[in-house]
Amino acid sequence: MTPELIILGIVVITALVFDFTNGFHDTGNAMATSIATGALKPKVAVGLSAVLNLVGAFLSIEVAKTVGREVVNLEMTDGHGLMLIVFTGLVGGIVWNLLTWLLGLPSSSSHALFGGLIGATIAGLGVSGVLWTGVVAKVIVPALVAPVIAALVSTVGTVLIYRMTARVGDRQKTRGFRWGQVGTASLVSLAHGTNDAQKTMGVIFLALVAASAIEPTADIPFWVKFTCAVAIALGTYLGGWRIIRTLGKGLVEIDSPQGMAAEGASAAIILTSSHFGMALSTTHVATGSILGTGLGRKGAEVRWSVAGRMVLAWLITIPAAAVVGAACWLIGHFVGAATTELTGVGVVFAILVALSTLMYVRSRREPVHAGNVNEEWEPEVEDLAPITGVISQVPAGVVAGEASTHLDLPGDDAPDHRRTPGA
Amino acid sequence: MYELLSLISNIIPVTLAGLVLGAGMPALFALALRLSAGRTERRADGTVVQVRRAPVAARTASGVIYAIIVLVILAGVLWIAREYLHELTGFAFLGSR
Repeated sequence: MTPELIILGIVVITALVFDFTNGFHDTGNAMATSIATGALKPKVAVGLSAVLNLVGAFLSIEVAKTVGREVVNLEMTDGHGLMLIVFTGLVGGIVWNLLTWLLGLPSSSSHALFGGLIGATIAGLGVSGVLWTGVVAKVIVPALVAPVIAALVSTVGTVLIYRMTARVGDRQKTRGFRWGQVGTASLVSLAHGTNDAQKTMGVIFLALVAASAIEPTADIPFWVKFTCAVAIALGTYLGGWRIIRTLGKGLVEIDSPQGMAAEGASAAIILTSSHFGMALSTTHVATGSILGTGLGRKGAEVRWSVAGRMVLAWLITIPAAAVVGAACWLIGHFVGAATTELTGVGVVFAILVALSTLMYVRSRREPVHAGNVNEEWEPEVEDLAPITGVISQVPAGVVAGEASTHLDLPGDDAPDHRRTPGA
Repeated sequence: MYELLSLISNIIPVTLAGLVLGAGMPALFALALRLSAGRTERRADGTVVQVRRAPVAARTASGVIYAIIVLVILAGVLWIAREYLHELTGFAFLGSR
């Protein structure tokens, strides 16, 4: 085992960890509405989404080799330099994904990855190492446009649906739209697998090229496709319950017809947008759609404070991931220069493991899981007792104060299924 | 600058496709539900209840619409998988390369 090979191994593992966080960060995009309306049981929903992500990852063979090339000027660096940039960029993306998950904020995983890469590139190659026109065209403009288009489409869909079914019996309506929801949410999951697993495949491919382990013109090896597909599916199955809760219960109270309108809009936009030369982030589209469905239904309330927090998270995703990426690059570079390259990479990897563990431990204080993901947002105190049976023992004032975003349930009864990636 | 303008001009087809498929298909689904709803009445508590089943013709029409929706979804899945299927079968369709 040469040091180069070990470094390549660490980079590939880190890329797969990113893929994994990408999976559980985005489960909610497809399944939050179905879980919130009860169309699918939480575990069934994440299972279905995981399988469809797995299938989707294999279905699409659109070349993902351009990932990274749109934002990093590869000609300014050699293999070793590129390897450190890719690695620390991934670390930046993972850390930001975990932090936003901890806060229950659906931010874009692709933005986290791009942000990390941009930061590591600035630290390594200077500001001119970043292809800024590529950043504006591929990242910034789509991010501004996606939520607006999605909200518009979803609002129109919601208005039409409610107009047309005003005189349909409640039972028939609920049953029909639940099926519709499952169908549209499945399409979103499939589309997610084809889009997002591709990105990690592209990153691993980039690392393999940087390590001269593969020719730049070669096809993406099967083991890369396979591991990426499995990583994103496992992540999806884990279920990012905190984000699912925000999207399904926090932003708008959702009914089945709205759920179908939202997922229908998301599926259509995600699937067609790349064809028209504008690849939109799944997260931005899904959030815009859910928001739109709240706008389109008379009497439905959109919680603008939650929406505002999300927008804030979107705005700072790229800079924040960039700062982490840049800091990691500096640490990796200077430790590497003082000792060996492998030690530098090892230290950054250790930092990643430490931060991941820290955030995981923090998340256990207020766990959100399949069992409590659907509980009322900002619940009334008297509603709590029948749900938890435990919390009624807590003084009323404490509960009211604590319950604004998450229920403060004892952690022991939570299934231990949210293992921290990298730990 | 030109690139940026062409990117912004892509907003229109993206929005149109979104409206036709993303709002149109759910609306079509709602139409099918409406056709098969039969006669309903609104109770005092605000709930809507079916009191008579829809006639056979209406239910058939509704079934046809559901079938169309399923076909469109299948086409969507084939669309996603077009490159993969091309590689697998050597048969190019839906604009695969």
